[in-house]
Amino acid sequence: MAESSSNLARYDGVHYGYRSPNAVDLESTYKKSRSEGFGTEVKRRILLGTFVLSAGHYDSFYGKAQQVRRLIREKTDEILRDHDFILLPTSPGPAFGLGEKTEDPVVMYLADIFTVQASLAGIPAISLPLRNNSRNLPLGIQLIGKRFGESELLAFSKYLMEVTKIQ
Amino acid sequence: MYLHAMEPYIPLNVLQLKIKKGKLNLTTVVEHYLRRIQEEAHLNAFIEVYEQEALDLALTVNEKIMNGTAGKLAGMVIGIKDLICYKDHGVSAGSKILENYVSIFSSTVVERMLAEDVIIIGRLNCDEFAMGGSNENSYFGPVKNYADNTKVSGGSSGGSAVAVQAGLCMAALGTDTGGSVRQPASFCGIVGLKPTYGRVSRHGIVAYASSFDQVGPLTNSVEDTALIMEVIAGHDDYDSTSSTKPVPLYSQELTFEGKNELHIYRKH
Repeated sequence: MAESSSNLARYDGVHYGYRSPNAVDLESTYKKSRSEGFGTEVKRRILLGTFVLSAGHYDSFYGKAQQVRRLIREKTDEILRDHDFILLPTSPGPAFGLGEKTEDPVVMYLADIFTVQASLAGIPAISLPLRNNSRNLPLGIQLIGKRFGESELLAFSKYLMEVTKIQ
Repeated sequence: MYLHAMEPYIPLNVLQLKIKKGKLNLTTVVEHYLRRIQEEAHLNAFIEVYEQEALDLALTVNEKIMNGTAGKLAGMVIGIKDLICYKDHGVSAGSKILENYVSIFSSTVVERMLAEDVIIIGRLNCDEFAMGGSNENSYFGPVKNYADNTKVSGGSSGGSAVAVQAGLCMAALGTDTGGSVRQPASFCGIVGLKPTYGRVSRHGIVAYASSFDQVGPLTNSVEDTALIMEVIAGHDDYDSTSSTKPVPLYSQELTFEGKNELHIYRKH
């Protein structure tokens, strides 16, 4: 979110894309173009990102997050020194209903709980279709591999797909 | 006619062989996907379809396959997430703020795929600036899961996942920052890879969180993923975070050798 608040600063109604027709001066061009152009979730992340990067909170949020990220990366690399892959679910459940989780952003973020480890560690991970559940909704299984170990990851994925194939 | 939604997917090399033998024409293949896109328009997977361009390219690529000069991805009909720049084509990042924005250059991944004769059939819906896990944050509306239209596609690469799931194209490119390729792939019963950070160039990808973002394929098979990775991975002068490590021929290295041993980690 910290990075997104910086990355999205460029959409100011001047450089790219939408410019509010209601703007009367430079400041209102920025404010109105961004207010009218971005959706709720994007605004939420820009605000949160800007907050955690602000002078009084930088160390307790952004600095801390960077430390945690390094720890996760180191621990994951350590596991992958002894093991070839990590096998885990891709998501806590199958596809949920439209509108079911839109009320609470935190509940929505939890849908990513099993995928963020590989993202934080910067290593490859693949989701493979396993089976469908009793309601015929697909379920995926995730394999995490070593840094730049895409070859091994893909070869083992193919093997796993073949041995789990429904006969 | 082999191509219809309920029949098993045909591997690209088989397709290329059929075309080479004159048993199948690439125009027929592209027309099939264009028809499928129309039939399933209610899924809202595509934001824009490049109909005429795809048909024009089908003629050129078909000829290349016939005379043996075609690239690795010849015959592959692919969709790209609306976050990936393709020169002279719209790119909106699922946002109103870029609704009418047209790319002034192509991303490295698009250039590399086009050089291998891929056919890009359109751009695919996604959460606004890839922020979301259900594709319900798109300015262009949510994407419906093909397995059950009352369920979400997952996100943020929801359009990419459903397009492959519903057979609207053979494969798609998405981007993954915290799970945006893998989670929708899981919800849609397809294969989705997030590569190592730095394996694929981010040049020409609308940035979300630059130290996490990676482009990844969504496909029907591990073989297709390997082939696409072989083409899009590798160093790029336009992305200083892209690795200079040589790119293996992933599609030739798909044999798993080794023993299997499973360790189970429990919470303690």
